[in-house]
Amino acid sequence: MHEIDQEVDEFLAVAADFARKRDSLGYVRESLTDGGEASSFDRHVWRAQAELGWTSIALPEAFGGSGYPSSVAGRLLRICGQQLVPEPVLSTVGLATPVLLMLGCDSAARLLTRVGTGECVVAVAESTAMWRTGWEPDVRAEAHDDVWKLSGSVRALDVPGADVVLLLAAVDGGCRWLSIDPAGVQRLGVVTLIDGRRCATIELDGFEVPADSLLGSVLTADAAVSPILTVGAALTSAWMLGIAERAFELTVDYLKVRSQFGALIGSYQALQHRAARLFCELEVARSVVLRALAALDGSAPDAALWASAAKARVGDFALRATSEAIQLHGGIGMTHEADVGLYFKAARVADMVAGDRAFHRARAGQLLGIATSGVL
Amino acid sequence: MSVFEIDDFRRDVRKWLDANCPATMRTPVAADEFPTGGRRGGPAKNPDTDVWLKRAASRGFTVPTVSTEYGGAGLSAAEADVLAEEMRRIGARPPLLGSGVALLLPTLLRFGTEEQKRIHVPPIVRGEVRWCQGFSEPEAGSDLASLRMVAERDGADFVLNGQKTWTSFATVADWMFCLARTDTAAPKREGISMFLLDMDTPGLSIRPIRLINGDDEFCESFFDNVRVPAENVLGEVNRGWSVAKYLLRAEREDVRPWVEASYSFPVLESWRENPRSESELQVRVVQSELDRLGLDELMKRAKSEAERGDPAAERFANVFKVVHAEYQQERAELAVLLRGTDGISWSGERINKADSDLVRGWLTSRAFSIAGGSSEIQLNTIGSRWLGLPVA
Repeated sequence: MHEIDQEVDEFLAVAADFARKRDSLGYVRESLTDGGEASSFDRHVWRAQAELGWTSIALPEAFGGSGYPSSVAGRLLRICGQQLVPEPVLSTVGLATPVLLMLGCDSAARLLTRVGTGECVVAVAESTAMWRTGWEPDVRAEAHDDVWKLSGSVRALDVPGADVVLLLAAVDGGCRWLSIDPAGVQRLGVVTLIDGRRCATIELDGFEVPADSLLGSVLTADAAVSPILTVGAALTSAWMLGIAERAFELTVDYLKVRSQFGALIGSYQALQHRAARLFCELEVARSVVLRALAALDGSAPDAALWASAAKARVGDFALRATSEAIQLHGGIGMTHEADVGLYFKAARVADMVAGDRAFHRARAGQLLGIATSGVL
Repeated sequence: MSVFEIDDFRRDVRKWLDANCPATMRTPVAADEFPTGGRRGGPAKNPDTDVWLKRAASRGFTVPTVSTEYGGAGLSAAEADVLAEEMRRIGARPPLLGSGVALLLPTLLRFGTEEQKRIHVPPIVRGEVRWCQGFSEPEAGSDLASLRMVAERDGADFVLNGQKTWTSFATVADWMFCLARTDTAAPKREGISMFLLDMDTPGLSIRPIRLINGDDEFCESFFDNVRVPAENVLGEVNRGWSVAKYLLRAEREDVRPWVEASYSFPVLESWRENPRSESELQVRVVQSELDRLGLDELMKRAKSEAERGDPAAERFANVFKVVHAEYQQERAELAVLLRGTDGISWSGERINKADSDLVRGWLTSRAFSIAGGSSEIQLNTIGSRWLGLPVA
């Protein structure tokens, strides 16, 4: 085995151990009960995760990162998904980091370094409209002397809590990514999502940002979102794979302990076959997600296709597996106390991150040369 | 073996293939040109099929890794890889296919007596004797171990009575390997033996069964006091179940050529010829292509786990069987659907061969979830063996 493989295995083993001991499920349940305006993750835990190397896992060594291949970030996210870690690993490592790495400007580099040390949680504003042809950002940025004035509004997961939100703004000649500090925004409409995570609508009318908040150069909308749709979608599919794997595992365990009609319910063929079918589809989903991660490492020309194939497949599968998990748990599965319900809701939210399954299936169709007009 | 020796071997093989593999044998195997060998089927439809079989057999290339003593080429694994690569390079067809070479031969080498190997292996290798499989019975399909055909000892022979079904190609086969009960008092897996018998043995009669796809290769075989010499028991008497399990494992591992052939449902081609505007169809075509990619990745993962020697890699045989059947049936369905009326035409001069093959292939695809262990049996195995679910 190569030295780096050994290092990676050790890193992931430590990460898995930390994630298991985190009591994420208890934390998420409380988050759901409390609602409110506080962030839905624990900053102390985030620092500890950063010290273990989670936040720098996808960074090149120049930014104080591990220099590991991108797939390692995917393997970390899979572990986080298995345990439903509430800290914004998906937002910061899965989405913001690929965007900042693409932009590559000095401001982006400074942000990346701060991400690596754990000082800075970065969220990304997404909207479902982002994935349509001819889409223009909801936010507009106009230069006025040495500041840029913004108008419009966006939504971002893990706000409040995030220190920086990346968003796309329409500028003359195209789009630009820019960073804002959400603490400086007057109006923040906060909702708690079904999985306990906060999501804020950020009203930006009249908000001003300094010129160095505008990152990278002017891009087309397609080029601007591509790191989310390829690297982001592949990493999100790894997170979703983790969700589905753990929900399935909990379900198989339950079939072995619950009795009805004088027998363990896992001895009934109708239920065995439901579980076995999930097992088959899980193996296919795993194969495709692992392939999508491997395609990131080599920056393979078909990385975009595999990312979409993975996000579409694991999107279908995670929703099916977690719904089946509730069904196979019976009435218990409907309770707030049962873990499978949390996985079900987390899968539903993850489907919306980095483009949902319908979008990615259509995108895969286009990349395969099948799609006709009217899809994207 | 050194790199130089391998290079020499590759040069030899390349030269030999150039000189000996006929041009028409360098194309994908047509459905009606399978190189099955045997004496009864008459000459092959394409004479090159027989030429290629003879030439390949003369070098032992029909079974490259089998020892030369039994008619194989005695190649090392590395040499066999080179041969396979060189054949792939020119698109050469396998010179010999069928249950003799794929299933019985490895089982004979594992369980056969020296005498049995000496008698039966060389004719298989040369494609002179075609074998059929007599396992299933009308009351023993998925539950094979409940088979009821009886073999009673009578002097130097066993006397077989009963009925077999799904004996593929029984009308054209020369010999049959079959299972019969030699101890009716023993628990159902413990009283079974495997027999090798000549199809010309008196008392054996065959009736073809016509299938929905028009094929009549599957047959019913009736045994009325069929006498088989005791030396034709393969493996020990009453230990036939483990011999059969070994053989059936070879059958499942042999899924690859079948997969490759069934990949040819021309979904994308039909779509490109006639892209329809209904969004439902478009989504199904995209999903079907994504399923095909998923199946490829599943197979690659299975292969690499198996190569690492991971015993859990065996789960892929069950998983692959289920998923492959489901995805390919959908591909078949889509392919005929996209052909419109041509996709439902059965016979007539105006039907082109590609459509006729497609329609028959679609009908055949219904068997993917039944033959070789039905999907339901695979799901049972997954439940008990891989998920550890309790038995009823």
